This record gives sequence, C-alpha cells and structure tokens, in this order.
Amino acid sequence: MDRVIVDNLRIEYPVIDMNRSFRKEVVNTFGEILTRREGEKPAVRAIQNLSFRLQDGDRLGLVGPNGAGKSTLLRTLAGVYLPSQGHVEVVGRISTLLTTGVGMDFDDTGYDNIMTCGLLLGLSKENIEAQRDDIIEFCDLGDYIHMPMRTYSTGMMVRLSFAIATAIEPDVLLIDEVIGAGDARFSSRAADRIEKLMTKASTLVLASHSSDTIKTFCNKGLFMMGGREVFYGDVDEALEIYHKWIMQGQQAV
Amino acid sequence: MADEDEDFSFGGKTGKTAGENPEPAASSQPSAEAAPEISMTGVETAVPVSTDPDIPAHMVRDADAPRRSAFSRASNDLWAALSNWTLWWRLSLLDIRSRYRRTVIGPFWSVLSVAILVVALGFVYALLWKVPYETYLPYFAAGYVTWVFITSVMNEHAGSFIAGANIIRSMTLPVTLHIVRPLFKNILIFFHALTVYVVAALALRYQLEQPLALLLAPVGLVILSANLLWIGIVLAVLCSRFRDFIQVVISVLQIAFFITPIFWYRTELLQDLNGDNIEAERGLADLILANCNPFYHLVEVVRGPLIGHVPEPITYIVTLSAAVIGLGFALFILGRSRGRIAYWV
Repeated sequence: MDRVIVDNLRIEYPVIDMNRSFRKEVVNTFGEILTRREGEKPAVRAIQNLSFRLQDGDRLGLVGPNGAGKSTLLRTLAGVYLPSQGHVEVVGRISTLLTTGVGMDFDDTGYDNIMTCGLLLGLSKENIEAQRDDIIEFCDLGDYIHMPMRTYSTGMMVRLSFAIATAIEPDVLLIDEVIGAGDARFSSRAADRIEKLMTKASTLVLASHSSDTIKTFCNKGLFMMGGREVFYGDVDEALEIYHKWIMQGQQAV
Repeated sequence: MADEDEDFSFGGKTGKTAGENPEPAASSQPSAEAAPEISMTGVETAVPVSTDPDIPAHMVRDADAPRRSAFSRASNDLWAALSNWTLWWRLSLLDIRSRYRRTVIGPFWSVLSVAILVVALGFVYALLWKVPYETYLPYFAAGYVTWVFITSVMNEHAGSFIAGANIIRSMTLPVTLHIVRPLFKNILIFFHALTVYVVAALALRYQLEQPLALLLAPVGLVILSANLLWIGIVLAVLCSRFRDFIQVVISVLQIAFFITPIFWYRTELLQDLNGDNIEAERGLADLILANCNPFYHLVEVVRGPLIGHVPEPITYIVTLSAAVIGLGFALFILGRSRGRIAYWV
C-alpha cells in the first residue's frame, strides 16, 4: 500500500517584500484572502516537478547540497507547507524529528518533557506513561533524565527527541539532519530501533549530509539539487551518483 | 482530477505541467486507491475521526482532506485543537509554571500585582469621584480583573503564531492550538486574580444587588472566551503576516482601557457636574462609549454578574451575535490563509 505519494510537487516560498508600501500589501493580501486570487508575487521555488511513491518498509534517504529542498520536502510531507502545485498524500500516523527540542520546556526535566513532547507528537497520556521506561532506557541519559533540559548537550537532546519520536510507532517517520549529532554508539542503537520499527511496516524519510547515516538507515535514495530530482532509486546508486557529483562537479550528472 | 488539484493547490497556480513528471498519467490513481483504504480505518465523516483512541484526529490525513473547502479545513483545525484537551491543558499549565519558575510565591504574583493596583487606585478614584469605596472598590476590582484577562489574551494572541513558529514549522499540529493555549492559560490566571475581587467584596461587606446574577458569571466567561477565540484567530493571522498590527493591537488596547467604563461608572456619562441626570443631552456619549463600544460589552458580560447586576439584553445580543458571526469570519480567514501561515512566521 502506498504510504507516501508525491505527485508533480511544487513548493514556492513567498518572499515578503518590505519595500512595497504597507497599503499595497494590505490590499493585495486581503484581496487574495477574500477572493482567492493570486497576484504577481516574488517567490522562491524550493521544489519543482518532484514525484515519487513510498510503500511500507521503504526507507528513503534524501541527499543533496544545501538548498536542494530536502528540509522543505520533509516539512511538506509533515503537512507544514501546502503545495503550490501538485499533490501530496501521506497516509497514517506521522511522527517528526525535524528540529530537536521543539515545544520542550528547557527548564523542565527530561522526564517531564517526555510527556510534553509525546503529547505534541500525538501520543495519548496513557500511551506515554506506558512507553516512558522504554524511552528512558533507550536514550540512556542516566541521572540526567531528572535534570533540567538546559543542562543537556546537543547529543543528549537528540537522543531524547529521537527516543520520543520513535516511541509513537508511527506509520511514517520524518527525520531531518539532527540525527547526526548523536555519537557512534547512539547511531547503532538508533539503527536497531529503526530496524525494529520497519518490521512493523513503517516508512522512513531521512535527510542527511552523511553518507554513512544514509547507508545505515535507508534502502532507497533520492538525490536532489535545486529543488529537482536528479536521481531516485536504490540507495547505493543514489549515493554513488551523489559522490560522483561531489568529486567532479555538476557535469557528471 | 482538475478539481482536486485546484483545491489542494490552494491559492496557487493550477495549471498542471506534466513536463518532467515521470508518470503523470498515473497521478489520478493514488487518491482513488487510498480512499477506501482510509475508510477502513474509520475515516468516513467530514471530520477525520480515528477509531484508534491513540491516534488523534489531526494525525490522520485522509485522501479527502485536500478536496474539502477551506472553511471546513479551518473548522477541522479548530476542532482538532479544542478536542486535544490533554495537550493544551498541559501546555497552558507549563506556560504558567515557566513564567513563575524560581519565584517564591509563583502565580500569586499576578494576584498580588492586581491587588495592589486595585486597592491603591480604588481609594484614589473613590476620593476623586466622591463615591463610597465600599461599592467602588468591588466594582473596579471585578472590571479590572476582567479587563486584564481580555488584554493579556489579545496581546498574546497577536504574537502567538510567531511565538509558536518552531512548532508550526516542524510538527503536524493544528495551528489553532496556538490560540487555545494562551486563552486557556489566561483563564487560569483570571481565576487566580478573581480572588482579589472576592476578598475585596467580602472585606467591605459588599451587598450584591441581585445575588442570583452571580449564576450568569460563568455563562459570561464562556461567551467572552468564545469571542476572544475568534478575535484571537483573526489577530494571529493578521499579525503573523503584517507585523505592524502587533503594535496597533497594543495601542488600541491601551486606549480602550481609558475610554471603556472600567474604572469609572457608565452612569457618570449621564450626569452633569451637580449630579443631576441629563440623559437627553449626554446620551450620545453613553451611546458611543458604552453601547457602541465592543469592549464595554465584553467586560460587562462578566463583570455585571460578578457585582450582582444582570447585564442589559443588548450586551448579550452584541456578544452572542459577535461570537457566532465572528467565528464564521475567523474560520473563513483561517481557511484562506492556513497554507501560508507556515511561510509567514
């Protein structure tokens, strides 16, 4: 069954130009909101003509240089951005790990933040209580779990966020770069955990600059550049083409 | 297919260029396939309701969602935010806790600051206007506590999408959560601050004119909150797009405090210097500053019952119809701009 369907997707960021007169802005935007018409507006095209499909068990790695549209794609799948054109469909429960520590209170302990973050990700209270020990055990913070989050290192925060985001047993898990901040030991534990999730028929989309991370977690690869697809298919092939591009410059593609 | 695309690419260009799309012909299949798949999990009604209690409604993105109108998308958003009460309850408590963290008396700071202001100004104004402070102080306390509630909510709503930008841009949550959260937090603070009025009324042995009117106070609070909810949605949308509006809101609220009968009596508008009633000549001031002043009705719907006075019918007519019409308007605005809020914050 198709979990993720991206069809001819285009994403455009409006550029809000402060040089235009305030009155004009108000009239234009209200005109748009009320009449649903779109005026001529400067926009940055972050993704264009992108199509792919993911089934249960697919683990897609996104690679590409800065500005390739990886994070934008993840946010679009998460429902943050609506397409300017095309069609996006994600079926099932989504869990996101796009930024660490979102919605967490840094003065609160890690223990309390498990509840806050779990609720934000859509878990029920009982579910979180049931999963709490597992989360604490996985992130392996020791006594730090009862310390305010402000005392955590970046890696510790990633470990906690990852443990919560994966505890939800999502149908679709979206992870941005952040995972790279964990140490080697965490990496292998995280890979195990993802592996376990995958046996429960989940789909993963992960963006990273590290080929090792992509290789560890993914079985499919999407190499993007300037918001367009360069290659989509097997992860090793995708990485190979990506590396070729890095070594030889753009001509290789 | 064309219809579906138009709805989904809300506000966008709908011309579909098949150009580099590897399999454009297959694009109509997924939604057709996925739809029955979804209804198996129980998503059949207009509001996506999951049969699995562990899956909150907003997490289920059914294939029909893109085709629904902007208005129903907005009302689904609001419903998802309101029904997820464990979330906003916790976040509101967290907001209060973090505001008073490491203070000794905690939330009672908000009570104390209101109490000091009410007592100090209450005595001064009672002297200035030569009214008995036994009745003036409770009147001022009830009005001021309500006013603080209104202004804090509006001020916070003006910046609430911007403050929640991190969550909006990285999680699958309804945006109106950022409206419900400050509203509920301030309701809790309002209950704290209300003790100032209760203590003042008890200490001064304030006689309620119509004690039964008190029963209308919770009703008033609900009506007021409903109004603050829709005003909040409109303010948050406007202010996230036009940052200048935040400053406008702040200034309007400052002026509104002085021109609304909160620390002065409405009846004073109808009296001349000798205290004689001159309703005929000065009815215009009363019309503008009270009857045509939305802030007056919002305050009065809660304050009136608190001080043992049943608000006039016009107050209920204004506040109730504003709540209904306003909510429709707010959902319309939200539906039209929902897709762009993430870009604006």
